[in-house]
Amino acid sequence: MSITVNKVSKSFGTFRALDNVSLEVPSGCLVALLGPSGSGKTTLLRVIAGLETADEGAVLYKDEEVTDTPVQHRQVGFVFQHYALFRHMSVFENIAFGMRVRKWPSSKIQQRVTELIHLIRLEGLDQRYPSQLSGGQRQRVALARALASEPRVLLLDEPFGALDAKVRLELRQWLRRLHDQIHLTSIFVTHDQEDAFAVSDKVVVMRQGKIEQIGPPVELFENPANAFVMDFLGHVNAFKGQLKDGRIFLTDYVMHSSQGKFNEQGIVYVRPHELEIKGVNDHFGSLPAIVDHLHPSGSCIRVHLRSPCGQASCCVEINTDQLRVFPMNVGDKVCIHPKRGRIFDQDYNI
Amino acid sequence: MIKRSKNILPGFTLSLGFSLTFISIIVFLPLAALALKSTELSFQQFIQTISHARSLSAIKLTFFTAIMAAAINMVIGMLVAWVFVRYEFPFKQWIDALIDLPFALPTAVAGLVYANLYMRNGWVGQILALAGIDISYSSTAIILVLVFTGFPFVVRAVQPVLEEIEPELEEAAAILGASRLQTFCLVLWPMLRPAVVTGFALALARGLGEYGSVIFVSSNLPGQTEVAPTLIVARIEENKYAEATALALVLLTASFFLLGAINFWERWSRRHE
Amino acid sequence: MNNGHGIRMAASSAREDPAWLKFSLITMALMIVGFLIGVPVIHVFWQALSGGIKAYLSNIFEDPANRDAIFTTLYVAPRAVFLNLLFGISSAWLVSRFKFPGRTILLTLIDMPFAISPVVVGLGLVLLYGSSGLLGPSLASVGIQVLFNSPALVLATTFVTLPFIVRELIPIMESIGPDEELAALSLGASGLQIFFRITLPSLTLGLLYGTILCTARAVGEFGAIYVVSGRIAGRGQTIPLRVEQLFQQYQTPADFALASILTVIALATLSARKIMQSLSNQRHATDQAKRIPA
Repeated sequence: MSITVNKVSKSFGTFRALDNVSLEVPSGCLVALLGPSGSGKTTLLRVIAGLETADEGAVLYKDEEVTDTPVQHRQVGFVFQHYALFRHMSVFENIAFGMRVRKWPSSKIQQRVTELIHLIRLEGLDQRYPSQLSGGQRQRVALARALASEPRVLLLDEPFGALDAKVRLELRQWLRRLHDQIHLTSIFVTHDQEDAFAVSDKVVVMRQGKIEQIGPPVELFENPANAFVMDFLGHVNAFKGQLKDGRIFLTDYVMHSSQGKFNEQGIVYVRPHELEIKGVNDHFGSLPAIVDHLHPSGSCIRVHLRSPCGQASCCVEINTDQLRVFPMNVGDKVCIHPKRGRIFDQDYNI
Repeated sequence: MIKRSKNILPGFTLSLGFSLTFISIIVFLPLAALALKSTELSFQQFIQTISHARSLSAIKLTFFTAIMAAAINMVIGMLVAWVFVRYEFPFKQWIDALIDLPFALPTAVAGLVYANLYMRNGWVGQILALAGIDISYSSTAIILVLVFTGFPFVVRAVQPVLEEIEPELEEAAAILGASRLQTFCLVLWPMLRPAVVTGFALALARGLGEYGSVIFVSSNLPGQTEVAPTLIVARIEENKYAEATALALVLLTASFFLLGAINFWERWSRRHE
Repeated sequence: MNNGHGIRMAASSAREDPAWLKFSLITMALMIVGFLIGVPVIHVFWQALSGGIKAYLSNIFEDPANRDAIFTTLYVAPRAVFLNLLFGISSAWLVSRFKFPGRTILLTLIDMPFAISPVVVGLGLVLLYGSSGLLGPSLASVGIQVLFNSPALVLATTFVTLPFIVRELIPIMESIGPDEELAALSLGASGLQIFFRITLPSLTLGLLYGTILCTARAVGEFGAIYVVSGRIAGRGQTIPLRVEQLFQQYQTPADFALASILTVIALATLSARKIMQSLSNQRHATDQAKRIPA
C-alpha cells in the first residue's frame, strides 16, 4: 500500500517542525527518513502514523485520505525508539495485544503469535517478561507486536538507536531480510547515515522541516543536491575554487567558520577520497599543505593536513598502496589536488 | 556505594548511641509497656474482653467505617490524581497543594468543622435535609470525616506513578487498536493498581486509629456509634487498663498486618520491573 | 476532502481524552476537593471572623483557659520539635551513611508512629508512667511526676511526630551520597567540621520543611495528649483539647477562633512546602544554566 504525504506542515508553538512537506512512498518500498535532530523526521513519521495531526496538508494511504482518521483505525504498525513494551504483560501477551483489543478469535491469536515468535526467533521465551529480555530481544518483540494484526504499513522510530554496535548490525540485516520476505511498505527514522544506507531502498534527507533530497543511497552519495546533503552524508572538505573548462581548480582554503561554508560563493566541496596528494610544485589548481597526522581507518589511511598558515585543515583518504608509492611523514610539505568536486548554487538552501 | 564508606565517616558511635537511646525512651519503652501488659492477660481473658458486646460493636464499627472510607478514597483519590496529572486548568498548582491539608490540619479542627458544617444545623446539613438526608452522629458522618483524613494517601500514592508512565505506552496501545477505555483498563490500570492498593492500606491504617475527628461527629454512644479508640479511652478513664490493652492489641495487630502487607504487595507487584 | 491549505480541526491524538470526559472529570475532581477541603477551610474562617476582628481577638485571648491552652501548646510543641530535630539529624546521618546490624529495626521503629493510633500511644505512656505503671512509682519516689504533667505531654507529642523530620532528611542524604563528606574527610576535616560545613548546608531546605511539618503536627496532636493530660481546664490542655472542650460547651465562636489559629498554621505548612518545592526546582535550574559548556 503506497503512502502519500501532501504539503504537510506542523508547528509546535513557534517551532515549525514540518514545512510544506510532500512525499510519495510506493507500495512495498523501504524508506529511510534521515536527518539531524530537529529536522522533522520523527514528526513526519508520527503524522503519517496519526500520533500527531498536521496543521495543514493531507496524508493518504493508497488513495484514501486518512488525515482525520484516529490512530486506532489506521491499521499501522509502529515500533517506538524505546520499544514501549507493556511491562506487566508477557512476550506472548504483548504480541497478542493488538489482536485481543480487536477481538480476534483466540485460536487465530494463538496461531499468529506462535508464527511471529518463530519469525523473530524467540521460541521458548514467550512467557518471559520484558524486563527479562535483552535490548535486541525487546526490539524484536516490539516488531512482532507491530506486525501481529497485519498492518498496512510499518513505521519505525529510530529502531536501532538504543542498541550497541554489534546488535545493531545484526538487526539491520535482519530487518532488511524481513522486508524482502514480507514486502510491507515501511518507513523508518534514523539520524545515522549508515543505518539508512544499509537497510533502505530510498533515503529521504531532511533538514529543518523540509526535504532536501530523495533517492537511492548511491545516488545521494554520488550526486548530492546541495552542500548540506553532501556534508551530512559522509565527510567533506571545503575549499575556495572555480570550475574552468569542466575541471575544478582550487584557489584557496576556506577559513574555519561554522556558517560561512554553505553560503559563500565559489565553494568547492570535495570528499576525502576525491583528493590526491602530490609532491610540492606540482599541478596548477592544487593547494600547498603540511601533513599533520596520519592514521588507519578501516581499510584506508586518513591523512590530516593543514594549510601553510595553519588556519584551515582538511582530510584526505588514501589506500595503503598509495602510501607506499608516496610515503609521508608528519611535517612534510605536500600539494593536494582534487580529482572531483562539486560547486552548489549559493542560494539553494535559503 | 555505602559499603565503601562503611563506618569510615566519623560520628557513628555518637549518632548510634543517641539515636538508639532516644528511640528506646520515646518509642520502644511505651510499646514494651503495652506488650508487657498484654502478656498479663490470659488468652481466655483476651477473648472475653473482645467478645464483650460493647467491644465487639466498637471494633466492628471501627473496621466498617475505616474500610468504607478507604474504599471511597480509592475511587475519588484515583479520579483526583488522574485529573491533576493529566489535565490543565486554572489554579491547578494551588489546589494541588490543598490536597495535603488533611495531613497538616489537626484532627480536632477537622472534627469541629465537619460537625458544624455537615450535621443537621450546618450549612451543608440544611441543604442535605432538603433532600431528606440527615447524617448527624451516624456512622455515615464518621465515614465522611475519615474520608477527609485519609484523602491525601491515595492521591499522593498514585500521582507519582501516573506521572512516570511513558506516553509511548498509551500511544502504542492506541496504534494497536485499543480505545481509550481499553487502554486504561488493560495498560494503565495494572500499572496503577499497586499504588492504589498502597494508598488504600495507608488510609485504612490511619482510619482505624482515628480519634480526634471522630469524637466530634459521632454521638459516641456505647454499642452504637462508639469506635474502638473511643472505647479505649473510656476504659483508660475507668482504670481498666487490661481491657484497654486488649482492644489496643486488636488495633495494633491490624495496623501492623496492613503495613506489612503493603510492603509485601509492593515488592510482589514490582517483580516484573 | 483534501484541502491542502487552511487549518483543520485536530483529530484527537492518541493520548487525548474526549473533551466531554475531561470536562466532567475536572468538574468532579474540583467538587470533591472543594467539598472535602475547600469548604471546611473557608467555613473555619467565616465562623471565626463572623463577629468582626475585635470579637475574634477577644474570643481568643479573654478566656484564661484559652490563654493557658495557648501557653501549654507553646511550651510543648517547640520542645517536641527540638527533640525530634536532634533525633532526626542524628538518625538520618546514622541510617544514610552507615550499615550496621539493627538498621532495619531502627527504620521500622521510626515508622511505627504512623501505624499506631494516638490513643494507643497514650495508653502505652499511661502503662509506663502511671501510678501503677512500670516506671511511674520509681520516678514518683524521686519526685518526678510524668503523667498528667508537662513531661507526658512532651513525650506523647514527641512520639507521634517522631518520623517527620527524619523522613524528610533521609532521602535527601541518600540521594546526595557520602562523596562530598568523604572528600572533606580525606582533606583532613574533623567530624564536626564535616557536619557543619558540608552536610548541614545541603539539608537546609529539607530541615526547614521537616521542622515546619513537625511543628504543625505537634501543635495539632489530640488523641495521645487527651489520654495523658489532666484535661482539666487550665491545666495540661493544649489548643486542640481546648477546642474539643469548647465544642462540648457549645461555645462556637471561641471554638472557631482557636481553630482558626490551628488552620492558619496548617495552611502555612502547605505554603512552605510549595515555596520549598519551587526553590529547589529553581536551584536545580540555575545550576544547570550555570554549567559552562565544555
